[in-house]
Amino acid sequence: MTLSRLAFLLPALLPLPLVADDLPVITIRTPAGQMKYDRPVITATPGTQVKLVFENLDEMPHNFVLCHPLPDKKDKGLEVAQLAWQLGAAGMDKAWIPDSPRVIAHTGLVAAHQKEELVIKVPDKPGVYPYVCTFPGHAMAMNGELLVLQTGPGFTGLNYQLYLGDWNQLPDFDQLTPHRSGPIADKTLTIELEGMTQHFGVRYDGILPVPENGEYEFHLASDDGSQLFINGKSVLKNDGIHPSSQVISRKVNLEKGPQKIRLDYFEGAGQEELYLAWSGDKFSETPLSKWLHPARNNNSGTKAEDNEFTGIPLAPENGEAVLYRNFITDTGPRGIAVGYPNGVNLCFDASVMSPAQFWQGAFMDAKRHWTGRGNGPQPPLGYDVFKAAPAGQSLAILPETNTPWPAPAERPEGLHFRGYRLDAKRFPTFHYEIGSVTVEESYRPAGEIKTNDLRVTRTLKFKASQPPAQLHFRAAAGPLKAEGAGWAGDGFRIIADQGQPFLRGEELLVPVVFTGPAAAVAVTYHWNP
Amino acid sequence: MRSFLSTLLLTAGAACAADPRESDYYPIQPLPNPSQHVLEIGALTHTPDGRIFAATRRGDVFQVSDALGPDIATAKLSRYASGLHECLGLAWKAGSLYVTQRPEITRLVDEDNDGRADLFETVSDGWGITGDYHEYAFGSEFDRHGDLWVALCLTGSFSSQTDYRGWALRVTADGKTIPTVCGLRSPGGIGFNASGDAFYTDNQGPWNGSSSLKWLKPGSFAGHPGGNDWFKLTNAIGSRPPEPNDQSRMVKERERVPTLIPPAVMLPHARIGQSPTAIICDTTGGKFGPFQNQLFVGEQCYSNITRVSLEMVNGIYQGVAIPFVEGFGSGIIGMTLTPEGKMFAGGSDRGWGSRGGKPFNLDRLVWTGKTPFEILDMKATPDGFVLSFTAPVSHETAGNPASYAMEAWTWAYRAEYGGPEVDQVTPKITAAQPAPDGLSVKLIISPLTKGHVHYLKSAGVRSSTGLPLLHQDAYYTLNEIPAA
Repeated sequence: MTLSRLAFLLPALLPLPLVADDLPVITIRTPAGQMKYDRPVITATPGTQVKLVFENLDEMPHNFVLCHPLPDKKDKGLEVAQLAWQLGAAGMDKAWIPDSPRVIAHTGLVAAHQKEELVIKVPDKPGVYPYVCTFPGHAMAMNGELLVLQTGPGFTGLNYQLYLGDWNQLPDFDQLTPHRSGPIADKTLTIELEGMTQHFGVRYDGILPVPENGEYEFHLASDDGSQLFINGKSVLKNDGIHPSSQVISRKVNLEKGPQKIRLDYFEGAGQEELYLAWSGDKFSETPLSKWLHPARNNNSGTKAEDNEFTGIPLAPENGEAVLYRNFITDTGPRGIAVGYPNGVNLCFDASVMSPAQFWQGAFMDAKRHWTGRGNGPQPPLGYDVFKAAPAGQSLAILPETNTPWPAPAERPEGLHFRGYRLDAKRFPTFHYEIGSVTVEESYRPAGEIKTNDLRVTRTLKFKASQPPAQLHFRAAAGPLKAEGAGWAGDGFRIIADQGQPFLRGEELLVPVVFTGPAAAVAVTYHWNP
Repeated sequence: MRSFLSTLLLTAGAACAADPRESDYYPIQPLPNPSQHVLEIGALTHTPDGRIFAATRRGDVFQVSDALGPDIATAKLSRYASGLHECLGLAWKAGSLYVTQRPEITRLVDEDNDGRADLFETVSDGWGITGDYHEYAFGSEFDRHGDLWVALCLTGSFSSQTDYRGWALRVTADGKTIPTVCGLRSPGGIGFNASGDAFYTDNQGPWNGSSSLKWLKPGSFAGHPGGNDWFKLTNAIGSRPPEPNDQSRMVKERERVPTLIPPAVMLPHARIGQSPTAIICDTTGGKFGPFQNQLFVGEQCYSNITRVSLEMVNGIYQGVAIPFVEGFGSGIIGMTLTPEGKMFAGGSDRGWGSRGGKPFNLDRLVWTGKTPFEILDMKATPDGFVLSFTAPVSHETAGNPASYAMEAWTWAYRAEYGGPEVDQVTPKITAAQPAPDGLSVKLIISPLTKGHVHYLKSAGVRSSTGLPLLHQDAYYTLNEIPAA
């Protein structure tokens, strides 16, 4: 926290041109349980200062470290995060900030539900500057990019003529008498004139200083209609009644020196918005209007709220599991997602009797399904998603050791879902049948997100009056590599707790061996490699 | 426009000020919800010990206790289960709650008696789902044989992309799933009449010129051929029916397609509703008012309830639809009626807008004990209709043919979405003959048109005490004209 306070004091100690309160503000938040920044991209102008507000809404600590890019590749700041990790035991004291020339600015380690403010001096050189959370294990998911963009010049003079009227198309302002006219003091296109909100039109006349001969591109969006003229020639026309969602663009060749820009605009009723910007070889899209278009990448610091999470997050409560039965990505339509109190989540597919995926952190966002008609599948809300096996069933009879695993089927023959039972903590045990064998499949989560040792033990108990031979449990499939007491897969590690697994190509199979009418197998999936 | 409307409203208001209102007889009483649960009701049922269960589109099930007393404020809600997938059916039997949710019918049991279900046992998942939002599954109460029924929406309006979309299935006590009726489009609810026959509501759309109430006669075809491919999976109801001809009439296609049964009661689109839902039967023996053994049909779009009385003529059902109560806070989807005569109705406006302005509602509707002056029933005769009333009519008004007006029409039976009213006829009321006790009147009408809805407006009828009818409109679906 000392560091941040120091950064905050800098403007007062040094002869900097602006005081912190006047600086453009960029807010970055870390939503709960999602292991990400809410803004993967922010922008700023070279050589300026911005105030960063870093708000940690998560249950674990995070930081924000702005880095110089590597000269030859985009590394998302991972190298800096690696250096932080190498601090080892000393890391915590240093807020996981490594001593590296790549670090431009950083917060301290911001605890859960705390926030910190930081004044950043934006580098003079345009480019893409990564930012990253250097707390060990976070950088792969928690990173973003500061786009330092060179901006072009604005108007050197700007006048307006305001007209009153109710139109569906741009009128011919030449035939009309303006209600009022005058200069616009800050030389930026604005429609906040005379407090008008509907039934008006404006003609803007401005002088734009073109820095050198060459090609420039103009970008126009408006609600309602507008038309751009350069030196008397129509360049862009976006007439009629419409929202501002569509930005139209056109390239024009211009000579160095002051050029006459005319923009005609009218507003019928409802929203009123006007966006004009230009870009050139030496500068990126630079707004000439006060209103910034939400779909353009030059609106840093003005629309942070656009990125706010507005979902319906579901979370385990009171130490109990939470269930969500719905359409979930990469799962058949009979998905049953389970969120456990320690941050382990999984989605059981009751079409094929197999867990479709596992993830950590936040559970599910129900907004897609609980607003409107609720179409489409919803992805997990958390992070570090892994699939222990590709789509398909987890149990099959393999008469021969080389019988291929059954191809994925929507509802495999012989498998029947029978429901689930919740225990005292509302943890489900799934019940189903394969042929004449009844199966009870349960999951026991363990570990903690904080200590980065989350894992979940999957146990299958079988009962059959006439046990089948050659019943196999496929615990994992995909690229698997023997490692220590188990096998490493893509994003997970698996250890057998009960049963004798063997690797068959890319499949980790466990024979289901009955003792009398009963059998059991168990494996544990770990996130941490 | 605005000034015209307000004038109209003022006039209507002035005319109605002294007239009886629905709430004089059947007040709507919202249940208290202090915990602000999201109660997007999809289904309701009651238990023999006086509890109400309410299941929601968000997949919760709530238990409502103390909801049958004189003051609705005593009702208490507690969450019985959650995490289910869009619940649209509830039934209770012997300590188990049967929930119809999108992928299956599930039996819920609170094994440790802590007020929350622990066992979620799959009773039947014998139908397909693709992940399309439209593939709703509406479940029933138990029928007289102990079976549950489920009515499966098509995948969208036109097609059936997985097993048995557009069918009604029965699930027996031993877990067998039996395909029973094909030809469904977009069901909104399923229920039984007093004699135990199953009915469902279907929504206006392809092959459905208007929404309607249809009889689920086992083996029949309800009119939309979109799901008929699934005859390849089953011979439970014989072979695939012939395709109906497009741009035809129901009355004509009945002759070509033997298993096609016309809707028992049309619920004329944009006249009394746009999206019918739950069906419940008043078997309370008079505790809910004078409408014993009649059906009450919920309506999602107009947030109202329509009353239906059925009769069987020439082997098929037909009957009358009469507005009952309007003004619920949101679109009705689930309903139940307890033996004590307390009706519960709830729903939501999510995805499909509804009147009332609230995102969801759970209300109780009770009978005050005061009998409204209503058309009790309307039955077809060889030469017209017989109306019966809940109270004696004035002979002078009820005996005057000018007290009534009738229009008749049908809808095109076609593959295109919905359809206009067509083949309009203006039948003439040639005589109105009240019975000596004033409780019924015989209307002689010419012509009667087979297959048409006969819309009767009884604006001039007064009770013997001078009251107008609480509802003057009655829509009779004349599938068959009784033989003389």
